[in-house]
Amino acid sequence: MSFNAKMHVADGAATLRLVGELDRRSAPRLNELIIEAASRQVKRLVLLMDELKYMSSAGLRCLVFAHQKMPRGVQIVLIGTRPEVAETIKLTGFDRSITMEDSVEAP
Amino acid sequence: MGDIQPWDGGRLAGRTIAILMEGDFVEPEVHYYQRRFAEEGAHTEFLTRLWGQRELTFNGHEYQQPFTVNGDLEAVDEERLRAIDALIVPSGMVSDRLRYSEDIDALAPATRLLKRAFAIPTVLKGIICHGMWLASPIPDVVRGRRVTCHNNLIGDVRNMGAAYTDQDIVVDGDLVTARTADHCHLFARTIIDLVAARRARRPSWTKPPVPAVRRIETEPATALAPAGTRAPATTGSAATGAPATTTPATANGSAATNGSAPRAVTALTRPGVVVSDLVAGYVTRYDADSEVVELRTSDGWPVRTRLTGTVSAEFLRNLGDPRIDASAHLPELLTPGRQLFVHGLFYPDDDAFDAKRLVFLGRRPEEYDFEKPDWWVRQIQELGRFYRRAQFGSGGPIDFADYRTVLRLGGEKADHHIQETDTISRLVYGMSSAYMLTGDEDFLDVAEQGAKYLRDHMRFVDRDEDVVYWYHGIDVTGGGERKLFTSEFSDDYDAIPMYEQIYALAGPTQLYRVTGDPRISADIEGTLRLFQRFFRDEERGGYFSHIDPITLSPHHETLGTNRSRKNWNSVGDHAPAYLFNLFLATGDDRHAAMLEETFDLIVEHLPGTDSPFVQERFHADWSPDYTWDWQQNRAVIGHNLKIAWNLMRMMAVRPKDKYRKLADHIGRTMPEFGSDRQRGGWYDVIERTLGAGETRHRLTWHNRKAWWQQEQAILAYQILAGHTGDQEFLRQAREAAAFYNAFFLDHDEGGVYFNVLADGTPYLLGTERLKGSHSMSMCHAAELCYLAAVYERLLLNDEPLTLWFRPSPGGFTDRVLRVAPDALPPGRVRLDWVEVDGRPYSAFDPLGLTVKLPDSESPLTVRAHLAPAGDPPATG
Repeated sequence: MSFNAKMHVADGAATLRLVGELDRRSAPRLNELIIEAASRQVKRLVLLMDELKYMSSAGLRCLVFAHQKMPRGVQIVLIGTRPEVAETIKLTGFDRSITMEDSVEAP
Repeated sequence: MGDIQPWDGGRLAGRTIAILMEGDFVEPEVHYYQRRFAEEGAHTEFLTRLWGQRELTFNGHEYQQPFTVNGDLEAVDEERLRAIDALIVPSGMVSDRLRYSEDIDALAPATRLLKRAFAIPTVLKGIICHGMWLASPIPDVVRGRRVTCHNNLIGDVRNMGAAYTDQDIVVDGDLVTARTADHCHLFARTIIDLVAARRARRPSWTKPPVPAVRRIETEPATALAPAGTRAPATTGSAATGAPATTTPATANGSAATNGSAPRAVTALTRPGVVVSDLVAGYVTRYDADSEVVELRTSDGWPVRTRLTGTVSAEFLRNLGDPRIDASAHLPELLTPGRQLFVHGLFYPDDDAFDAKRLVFLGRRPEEYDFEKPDWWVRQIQELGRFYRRAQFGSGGPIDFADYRTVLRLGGEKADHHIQETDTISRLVYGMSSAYMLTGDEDFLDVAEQGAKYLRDHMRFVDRDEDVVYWYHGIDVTGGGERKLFTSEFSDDYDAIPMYEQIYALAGPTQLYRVTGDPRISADIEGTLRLFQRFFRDEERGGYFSHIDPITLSPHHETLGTNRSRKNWNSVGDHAPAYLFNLFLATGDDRHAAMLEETFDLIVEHLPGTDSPFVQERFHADWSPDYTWDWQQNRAVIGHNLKIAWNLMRMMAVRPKDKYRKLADHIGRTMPEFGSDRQRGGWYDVIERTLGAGETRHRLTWHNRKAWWQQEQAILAYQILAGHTGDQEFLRQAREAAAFYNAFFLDHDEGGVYFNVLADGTPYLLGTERLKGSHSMSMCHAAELCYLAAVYERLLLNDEPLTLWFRPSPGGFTDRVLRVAPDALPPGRVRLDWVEVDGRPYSAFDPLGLTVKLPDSESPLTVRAHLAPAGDPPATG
C-alpha cells in the first residue's frame, strides 16, 4: 500500500495533502514533513485528508508528537477526513486538540 | 578461647578486632568484647608481649580469672597490622603492664605497635579507661585530638596535649575513646558501627594476604585492604548516625560538673556558636528542682535538656485539630519512657541545652495519639477536603476542566495550565481511598469524575496494537487542549516513561476496587498489554523504563540515556502503585503471577554487595548503570523501604523465604544508614558507597526530609511489625509516624508539607513550597492514611475497621465484591458483618473476605466490617 504526501508552504501556513495509507512504515515520512513545517515557523498546519484511506495509530502518534513539539499556538486543521480515519483519531482524544472540517475551502 | 565462633552472617564478617592483653584485666569487659564482636561476625584476636613464651596466662583484676593468650604483639608485621580493622587498648592495668620497657631509652613493644597503628588511618584505634597510659610515651598521636578517659587520667591526657572531652564516648577520626570499663558496651558499639561503615570502602576483590605469624584462632581473616584505601576521617561524626561531638570542654574552660552525667550532644564543631536543633528522645529522668530532663535518643545517646522559663509544650495534633497546650502539665508528663520532641538551643558554655518547644505524642507514656482508632481516618478526610476545595471549591459542582496540577501552599492555583495525567490519577487514588475509609460520597464523586476525565482526555486507544497508553498530560492554556504525548520532565524527555504509565493506573485501579466499573477494567487491561508487548524484556526479564513515542521501542536511539534501560520504577513500582490493588479487586492469578515475577527480579537484581542500599538503575542485561543523570551511584532511601513493605505484602500472596529475608534485612539495616536517629525522620537521597576518608554515607543534596520518604518508613515498619510482631520494628514505626505527624501536617493551610528541614521546620522554597505537584497530589499522604489505618487497626492494635464500597451495576465479574483491605497475612482478618444500602446483608464469605452482591439496576452502597481474627504471631 502506498503513501504519498506533498507540502506547500505559503503565508505562514503549511498545507499537506495526504494520499493513500499512512501506516507504521510510512509514518516517518509524515514526521519529516511536519518537522520541516515546524522549522519554517508556520502558524497553521492544514492537512488535506480526503484521499487518505487509512491512518494507523503509528501515523497518528507522529501527528500528536509533532503537535506537542510545535510552538504553542500552532493550529492544526484536518479537512475532509474520512469517517473511518476520524474514528481512529477520536479514540485518542486528539480531535479535542485540532480542528476538523468537512470540506476543502480556499485558504 | 577460640570456642566463641564469629557469626558469619554478621555485618563485621571477615573483619578483625585485635585487643591488647596483660594481667589485671577487667574480666567482664574482656568477656564482653569476646562475645560482642563475634556476634557481629568479627574475628577477635588477643595480643600480648609473650617474652619468648608460646603462650601466657594472665589473671583478671577482680576475680583473678585466668585468660591464656598466644598472640604475639611483637610478631605483628606491617601487612598484618594493616589487616586489623580495630586495635583496642582495654581497661584495667593492661596498659600499665604493657608500657614496661627494660630499656629506658626505648619504647615498650606494645607502645611501638600502637604508634605504628596510629600511622595507619585505616586501623581504628580504641582506647578505654586507663588505656591511655600506653600512649603516654608517644603523646604526639593524641596531641590536639579530642579524647575521653578515666577521671584519674584527666591530668595525664591534658599533659599529653589532648583535648579532654567530658563524654562517655568520643570519636575523633580514627580514634575512639571511652571513659571507663563500665562504658565498654557503648565503646564496642561505636567501634562496630565505625568498622561496619568503613568496610564498604574495602574492595571485595582484594585477596587476603597470608597471615605472617601463627594465629590464635583457626579462621583466617579475609578481604584485607591494600594500603591507602582509606584516609582518616577528619570530622568527629560517628558512623552511628549520631552527631558525636560536643563543644570541647577545653575550648571554654567549663569542664564539667558531674563526670558520669549524660552530656548534651550537638552537631556543632564550631566553638562559640549557638545552635538551634531538634532532639527526639525518650525521657530517662526528670529532676523538677533543677528543671533538667534527661533523654535518650533512638540510637542510645544521652542528652540533657533544661526547661527554660520560656518553654512551650503541646500535644501532637491531627489535621483539623486545635492546638492543645501541655505547658501546665510538665511534671506529670515528663515521666521515664515517654517519647517526645524537644526544640532548643545549644550554647557552647553549657552541658545541657535550653528547651524551647516540646511536643508530646500522647497523654501517657507508650500512648501515641496517631494510634487512636480514628486518627488516620480523620487525616484522610481533612486531606480530601483540602484537595476538593483547592481544585473545585467547597461544595459546588466538580469540573475537571478546572483541575490544575500546580497548587500553591494554601491551595490556590498557580498560573500554570498543565493537567498532568499522573496527578489526576493520584488524586483519584486519594479520593477513592478517602471514600473507602469514610463513606463520604463527595470524595467518590471527585474520584469518578477524575477517572472519566482521564478516559476522555488523557487516553490514547491504539487500535492497531490493541493497547492503551496515557498522555503525559494536556496543556489547557487559553481553553485549548494541546496533548502532551511524551513526558515533559527532564528525566524522561521525548519518551514514554514506564513510571508515568504505571501511575496513570494508580487512581483508576483503586477506584475499580470500589465500583468495579468495567470501563476502568478495560483500560487497565489495555495498559497491561502495552507493558507486556512494548516495555517487557522477554529475553532477560523485567520491564524497560522508557519507550520511543513513535516506534514504541525501548531500544530506539532517540531515547539517549534512557535507551535499553531498566530501573527500580519500571520493575518495582507496579506492585505498590496499582498491581496489588488490582489483584485485591479481581483475585486474578495473572496479576499474582506478575507480582511474583517483579518481586523475584527485585530480590535477584537489586541488592548489591557494594552498599547497604539497593541498586536502582540497570542496563538491559541487568548490569548496574552508575552513570544515569542525577542518580549516578546514589540511593533513594524511600525506595529501599518501599521494597521492604511490598515484599511483606507479597508474603501474604505468594510467600517465599527470600522475600521475607530481604524485607527483614532492609528493615534492620536502614535505620542506621537512612534515618536521623537523634532528631527523628528519614532522609532523602544518599551516596550508595563511602568516599575516601568517610565513615558516613554522604547525603546528596541536603539533609531535608521529604513527606513521601516518611510514608515509606512508617509503612515499612508497620507492615513488618504487623507480620512479625517484632518490637523493634514497632518502635521504628512509631518513631517514624511520630516525626511525620509532628512536623508534616500543615495546620495553617491544610494538606502536608513536601519537605522539612532536618529539625522538622517546613522548607518552603521553590517547588517544595507547592501542595499539588507531579507527585504530591493526594497520593502518598492518602496512601499512608489508608494503609496505616488498615495495619494499625487490624494487625497491630486488634481493632476492627469498616470499609465502604460502591459497586456499579454490571461491575465486578460474577457480582463478587472483594473487600480485603490489603494483602494481609491469611487468616488474620475476617469479615464480621456487611450492610448493603443500610440494611444487614448475609451473602458474604467471612474468611474469603468476599461479598456476593445482589442483582441491582443502580449502584449499591456496601459497608464491610472487618475484624482481627486468629492469633497474632509471637512477639519477637
